[in-house]
Amino acid sequence: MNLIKPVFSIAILFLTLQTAAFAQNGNLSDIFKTHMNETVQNVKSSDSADEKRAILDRSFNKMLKAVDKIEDNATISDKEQSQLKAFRNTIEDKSNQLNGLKGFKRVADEDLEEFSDYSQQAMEQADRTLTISLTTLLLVVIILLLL
Amino acid sequence: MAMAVGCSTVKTVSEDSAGSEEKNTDYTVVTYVHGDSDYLFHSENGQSIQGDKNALLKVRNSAQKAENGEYFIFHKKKKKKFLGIFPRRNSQLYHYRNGELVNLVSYRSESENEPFFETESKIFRDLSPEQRSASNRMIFLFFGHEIPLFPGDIYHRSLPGIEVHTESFADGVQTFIPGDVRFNLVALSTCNNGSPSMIHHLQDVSDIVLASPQNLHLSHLDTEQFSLLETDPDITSLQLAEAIAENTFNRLSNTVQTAVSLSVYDMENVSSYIKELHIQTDRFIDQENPNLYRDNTDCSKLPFFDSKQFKSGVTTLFRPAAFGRDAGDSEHSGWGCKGI
Repeated sequence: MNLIKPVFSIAILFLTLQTAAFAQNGNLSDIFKTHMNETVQNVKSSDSADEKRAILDRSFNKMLKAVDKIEDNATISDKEQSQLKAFRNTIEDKSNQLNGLKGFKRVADEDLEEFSDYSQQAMEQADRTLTISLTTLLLVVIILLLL
Repeated sequence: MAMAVGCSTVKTVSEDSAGSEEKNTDYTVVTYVHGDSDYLFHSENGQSIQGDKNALLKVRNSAQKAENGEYFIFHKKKKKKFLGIFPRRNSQLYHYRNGELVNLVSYRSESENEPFFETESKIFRDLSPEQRSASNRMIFLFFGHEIPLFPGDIYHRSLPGIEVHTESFADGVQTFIPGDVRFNLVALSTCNNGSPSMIHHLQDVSDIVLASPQNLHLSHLDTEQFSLLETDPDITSLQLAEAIAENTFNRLSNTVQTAVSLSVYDMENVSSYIKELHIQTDRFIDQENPNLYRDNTDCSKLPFFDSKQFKSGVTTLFRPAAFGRDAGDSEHSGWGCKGI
């Protein structure tokens, strides 16, 4: 019983060190793309449409929370705010389409895998990229939010 | 043989035997692969791929098959410093002539605030023959992210002082071949640069432009069709651009769910109205203040656009996205604009 606390603390420390190492190597765009790739692979390996939809929904919500966190905690310029707003809009549109909100037709159960590909490919275009620099600490927070 | 010149080191990989004459080439392809940013994408099975390295492989493969051509392939990489102090020549130029790698150049930008392409165009001119035959076809290929419309954004992550926007891009491309010489074809493997602004600025630089008015996946343009320069040397630059567009369009249409749009602009035909179209799109941006970080929309969806007036000289391949608000679109004007 007494072992639970130190083991838990070591696990948290290990996780934090790993994410800190990744944060130093990666950038914000890469972190979101890596997260989206994991989401797509999870959607494809899931058998049930309800589960596929739930995985996508959770993923979009996590990314929107991460954007909130950046807006609340990072010192960003007007241009960077416009970048974030554009990024947020694309995620919100996909979330709304998944759930049939804001004038979108709900994505059919049989189309969920294609929709997950679409969401990933939309993020992996040769368009403007997020150039916001965050502190390592905030990057770690973003990575943990996306886990 | 290795030789240090300014901010570059030239390693001669293959030298012609003494006394032998250098074989003439029929065409020159200058390629700039931007790697100083985020180019990560994933294959269908989740494997991570770096878009710039993928593009580099494709172009080097084409260069190796160019028996009658010359390729200058610049790979612009992130600035790095040895021991955190001494700048390294981290970027590379692969110079192929007649299918053989003749020079491998490691270089870095001479100044952190230099004009776009300054170092690359200088190296290109240094390694080029004093005079090219008038019939030598000149092609410029660019792989990267969207070139912004206006100054003020960071394009090179490690060299934020280099201004990159449509005007500095066109000016920079021109510095490769100064004087009255024009490129026969400029192909942009980027998103959203099939725009009135980009075409306006390139009208004095190239005869034909290939670009995407909206999104283009990071797997980029295909280059296999450059082999047509070998098998069909009389092919026009317009036909070549259309062949590259079609090949890329077919691949992307079969592999991505997002919209695919590729336009070929014949500058001679576009010149009669491009200035007017550019003025109108700029005025729209001034008045409506759209978010310039959002993806382009089809210009024909904007109130000022006259589909009949702005049609000549543009050939477009378009397939709408499988999802999203524009999934029902059936055609595209070929022009991409920032919408509201």
